[in-house]
Amino acid sequence: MRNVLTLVVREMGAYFRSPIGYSVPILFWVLAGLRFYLDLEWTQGDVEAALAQLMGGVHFWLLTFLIVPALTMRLLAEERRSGTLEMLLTAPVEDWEVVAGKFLGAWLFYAFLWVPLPLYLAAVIFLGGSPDLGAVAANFLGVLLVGALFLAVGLFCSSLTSNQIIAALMCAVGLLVVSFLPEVARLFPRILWIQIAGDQLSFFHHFDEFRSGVVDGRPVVYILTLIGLALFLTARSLEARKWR
Amino acid sequence: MIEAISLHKRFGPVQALRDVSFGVAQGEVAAFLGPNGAGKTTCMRILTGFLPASAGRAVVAGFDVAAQSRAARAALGYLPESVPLPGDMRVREYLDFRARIKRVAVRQRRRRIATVVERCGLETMKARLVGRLSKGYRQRVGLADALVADPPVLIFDEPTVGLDPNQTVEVRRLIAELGAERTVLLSTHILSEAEAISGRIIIIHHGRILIEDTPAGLQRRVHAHRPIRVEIAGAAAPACRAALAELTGVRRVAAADDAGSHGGEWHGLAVHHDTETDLREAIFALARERGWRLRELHREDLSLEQIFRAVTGADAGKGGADA
Repeated sequence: MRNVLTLVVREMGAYFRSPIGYSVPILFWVLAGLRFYLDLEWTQGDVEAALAQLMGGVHFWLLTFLIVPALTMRLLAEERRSGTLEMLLTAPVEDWEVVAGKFLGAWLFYAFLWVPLPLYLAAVIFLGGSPDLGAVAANFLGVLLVGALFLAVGLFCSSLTSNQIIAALMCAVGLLVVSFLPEVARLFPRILWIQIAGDQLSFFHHFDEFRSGVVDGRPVVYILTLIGLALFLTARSLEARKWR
Repeated sequence: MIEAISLHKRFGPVQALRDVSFGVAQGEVAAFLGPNGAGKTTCMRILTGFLPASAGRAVVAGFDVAAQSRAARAALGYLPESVPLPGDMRVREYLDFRARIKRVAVRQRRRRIATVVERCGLETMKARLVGRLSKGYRQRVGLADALVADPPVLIFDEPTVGLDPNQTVEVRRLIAELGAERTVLLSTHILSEAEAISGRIIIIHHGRILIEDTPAGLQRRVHAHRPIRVEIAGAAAPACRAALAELTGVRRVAAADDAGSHGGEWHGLAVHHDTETDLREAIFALARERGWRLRELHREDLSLEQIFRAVTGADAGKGGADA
């Protein structure tokens, strides 16, 4: 575990030293903040609605789809390109530790993007609003879980290539596929089990449960399973150097 | 400390290593000598656990590199050929990261880093970004990284490539120091380098070990293939050649390859011979006797190709048919 911690610290450091470490938070904070402000204004102070928009509205998804490839494309592709992967994997470190360290580093950075959220809440409460904090917490848990899943998909894509641009493109496609599994299933209208499975796999459906303030074990398990799968595939892809 | 037992490696249709076996004992510096693509890097990557062998076994510090990969890796320091380093970190910070990842105990970390920084001459570069360092300093950072956990086994892939002559001398001296107490395996494609720093030379070509010998032993084998380069004035070129050709053991005397570059009274000649003894003394004596002036007298270094020809030629004489 200590190796994982070392790698997480290293990864966070890499974020804050790269242009991405500055540009992504600024972009995110400006856009999300603006959106939150406008939502508050349009709904004439309906805090719950504005928060729900912030953590699950169209803009949320657009931003996430933009940000996740930017955060993950570098992770392993750059190590592969520059050859530092060889340095890393010839140190007494396991492949899974590298994967876990990269993943957690990216996830912490993603969580860091949400630093303004408690500030918004504080401001809202200070101004006399009374948001349902439990619901906000449930919604935020959903945000963190979805972020983790998307980052895991991005990490996997980054492990497949040594080109960051290709990693980002694959990640974008991968996120679309993961997000629209039911729609993908609808391409096969005659096969019933795919239909049923597809509906169960609906991401937005699960996510909406979090948004409505309900924390059900099933979507949590579902998302954690997908994360585990993506990370497992990433570790296998690192190991694939040995299969040639 | 390092043991390779019948290693084979295949990349699809390409057979990169064939039946490579050798050992390196503690306190020994061994050099892989071979041209690019000979299999040196592949073999080192197998020893470091980065790639698995297609067949065969490798043991580092008593640990099987496949079955006990982590323990084997913990016992070795590795410097890959191109010295890949993350450009965004500072030297000190990078070494600290590497020391952590290699599990150097907390209390020793600071001291170990200070030691390797000093040993590799990085004091003035500690606060620099790795990405801004010159090739020579990158190499030193790579060496410092390999040494930071104080491993008993060191594997250096082409440690002096791209260094200027002064840096090369420094790195060679460092490796010689390290070799006193540790096991070192390095690779190079320069014979004189292998001779200068290693106690044993393993010549590898087309994924096969051609020869394994001490520098002195290798010298004996290739000695007869190293022409002696002389530059003489004080007599006509044909007379010089004729006189040199009279010496015992001389096969033929040719104009040196670069003879055209210096005309006038100086004649550049290459004395080819087939004797075990060093002809340089005899040539000097001859020059003194004839009243020639001599301004150059040395044995030519052989290129790798010439060595292979020499070595495989000798083998062919005994019935082998390699190369």
